[in-house]
Parts: sequence; C-alpha cells; structure tokens
Amino acid sequence: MSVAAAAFKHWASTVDLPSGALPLARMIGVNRTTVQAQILRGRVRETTVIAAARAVGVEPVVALSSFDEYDDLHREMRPPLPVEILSQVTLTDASVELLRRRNSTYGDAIAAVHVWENPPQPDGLRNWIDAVDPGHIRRDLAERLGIAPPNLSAHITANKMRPRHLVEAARIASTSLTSGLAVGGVITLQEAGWPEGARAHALTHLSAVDLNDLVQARLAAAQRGARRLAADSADARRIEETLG
Amino acid sequence: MLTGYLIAIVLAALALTRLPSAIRGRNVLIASSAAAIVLAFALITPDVYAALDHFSPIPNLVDLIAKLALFTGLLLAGTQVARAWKAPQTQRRISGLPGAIMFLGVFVAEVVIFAVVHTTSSAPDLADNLSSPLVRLYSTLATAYPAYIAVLLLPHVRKGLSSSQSATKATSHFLFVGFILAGVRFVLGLVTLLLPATYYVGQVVSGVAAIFVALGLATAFFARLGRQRAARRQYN
Repeated sequence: MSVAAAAFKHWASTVDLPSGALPLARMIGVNRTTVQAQILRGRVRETTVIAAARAVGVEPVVALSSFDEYDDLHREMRPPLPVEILSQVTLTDASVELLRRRNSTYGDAIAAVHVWENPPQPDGLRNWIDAVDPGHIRRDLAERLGIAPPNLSAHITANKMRPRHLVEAARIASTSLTSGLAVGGVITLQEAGWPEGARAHALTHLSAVDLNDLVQARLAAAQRGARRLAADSADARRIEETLG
Repeated sequence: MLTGYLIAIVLAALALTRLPSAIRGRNVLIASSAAAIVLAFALITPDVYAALDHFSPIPNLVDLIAKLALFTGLLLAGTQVARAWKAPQTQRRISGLPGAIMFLGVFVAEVVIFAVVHTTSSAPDLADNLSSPLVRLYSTLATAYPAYIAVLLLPHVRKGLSSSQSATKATSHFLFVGFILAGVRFVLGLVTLLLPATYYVGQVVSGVAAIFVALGLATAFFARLGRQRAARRQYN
C-alpha cells in the first residue's frame, strides 16, 4: 500500500517541496519517471515520501504520520524491545562479542574494525518476526492483510515486505509501529527511535548462556543458507550439464 | 505467415548454437531435440510445406511428419528436463512405458484421423478445412502431447524459480512460461473445437511457447559455457 498522490501533493506543499515532478524528483534524489508514474497512478510509495521528508529535514516517521494510512505511526512509536534489538544482531556482531569475552586481545583487535551492519540484513525480517511473535503472528498477519500464508512466508524469506505489512506486523506484535519499517530497511534504526548503540548495549548485557544461544542460532541460520546455496549450486550444475 | 517464418528462424538460430557441442558428442539428445523441433516448425512454413507437399504421394503427409518430428523433439527435451531436475518418476512418465503409450496413443490417433479426413487442399494442420469437426479434433489432439509433457514438468521447473543461482532462475523462468503456454495452447485447442477462429491465435501461442522453451535451454547452454570459461580462467 502507498499514500494517495493528492495527499502527498498537499503534504509536499506544507513542507515547501516543489509541486512539479521534475524539480521534486531532482530535490529528493528519486528518478523523475518514477515520481511522475507514481503521481499519475494516484499512489505515491512510502519510499518516495521518506526520501522527500529526508530532503527537507523532516522526520520520516512524522512525515508518514501525516497520511491517513499511517496516522498512528508517530503516536505508536516506542523504544524497541530487547528481543527486537537482538533480532538485528548478525552472526558477525555476536561472534565479535563472543571473542571479546573469551580473549580480550583478539576481541579488541576485531572490535576496532567491526562495523554494525544496518538493516535490511539477510534473514533480518524473519529474525524480527520470530522475535516479536506473540504466538500466531504469521497466521494473524496473513488474515489481516488478506494474503495466503505461503505468500506471506515467501515475502518474509525473501526479506521483502511492504511498509504497510511491516507496520501491521508490529501492530499484531504490540511493539513499536516503526520497528518493522526499520528492520525492513524502509527507515533507519535511528529514525525508528532506536537508541544509538542499542545493539552493542544489548549484546554486552547478554549472559554467557544467552550469547552462546544467539551465536548458535545465527550460525544455524548461516548453515541453512550455506546448505541451500550448495544445493542450488549443485542443481544448477546438473541442469547446465544436462541441458546445456 | 510471417510469424511462422520468424518462429522457425529464431528456433533454428538457437539450435545452431548447439551444433559445435553436438559434433563433439556433448548433449546429443538436447541437440537432436532442438533439431527435431526446428524441423517441425520449418516443415509447416508455407513455402516449404507447399514445395514438399507437391512431391508427396499423399496430400498433407508433410504435416504428419512435422507432428512426428515435434513429438519426438518434445519427448527428447522433456526427458532431459526431467533428468536435469532429478525427477525419475516424471522421466518415466515421459520416456518410460507410460510416456511411450501416451506418445504412440496421440500419434496413432492423429494418423487415424488423418486417414479418415479427406482433404483436397494443401495446408499445414489441415487448416484449410477447419470447418470440419474432425479436422479441428486433429489439430487439438496434436496440442495434447506438448501439454502432457508441460504439465508433468511444470512442478519441477517451478522449484527452480526460487533458486539462488541466476542461471537456474532464468532457465526455469523461460521453461516455466513455455510450459504454461503449451497448456494454454491445449485449452485454446479445446476452444477451437467450438470456435474455429481461435485456431490462428493458438498457432501463434504454439510458436511463442516453443521459443520460450528454446530460450530456456539456450540459457542453460550459455550458463554452462560461462561456467567452463570461468573455471578455465581460474586455473590459468
């Protein structure tokens, strides 16, 4: 889902954005034909709204909340839950922390070059959905969105969910409505209200058992991915050898 | 008319890429399949058809030969696609006893109808006599075998659509569309039984389906070449 083009035009006028597609596209750094096509279709994508908001220094969450489709977004923005924060910790992040605890020399050396990967991360959506799942989030979300559960699962696996779906998932999970947008990479973690260094803080406060569990879970996911890649590669080779 | 030539030329171009490998004895089955399908489409191009039919002892025998070539090409391609997707059950249904029964059943039925129908004019698929229900049945029945192969292979090819390997994905997409169109062609064939005018739309669909399948096979071919070249570069 997106926002109405008429509402977008009205909002753009309130933040002194140009009304023409060409100057608007140039100012917000989006392809002109993309902007033009969206306005002509009567629906403007959330990513365009966010780009426009960033261009004029307006908080993307505040900007989105100006539209009927997202009117409660800013109101329902809360600090993230600890499980949400940990869901966006990668295998590398967790391994660095594990190493730091085991051997401070190695840990410090790696920590100096360690970069926190911003969302969207591979498997980031699935991790977040699993972390905030109150019980039947996939079923409830599919019902609420009116899509088939296998299709929803495919979107989660592909790490691609629409902004509106991400907000609905957060609503079902009773968490901050902006968290889904952040893990989906629609807005940044900071824009979603995540405190600076939230992941580092959450990791350093994990017990040894929980940290090991986290590393194990991420390693298992990485192993699943590697196995799938190996299987796909073997299939590809067989297909090419047989048909090529 | 022009569409027929275009389809035959595109298929021939794609088949020609196989020639060097086939001469070296690599994937002869796929090369033979491509050659058979090209032959089938070439035979039914208007000029070739008219020229060959002129020398034929039985009017429109060329059409029957074209159908045999098409079915053979599909049998070979279908077998290899099933093998490529590691589907022994499907492979059996294509080239095993059930597959042979289907192949022969459809072709013998075609021969019987061909023998029963008396046409005076020379036209591929006996298309000049579409007003005859038996001719429409002859045409529709010929689309049943490609649809049979397509329906068997679709579930396997579908799996390849979500592959992490771009070449597999592309091959699967082309084959998937080609097989879907083969199914659509059969449905159009059934519609032709009641509405003869849909026949010509169906013929275009047939050609487009063949091109998509050929593109799928060509993608696998070029992916293999690319992989070999990459491997050579790595070791040089």
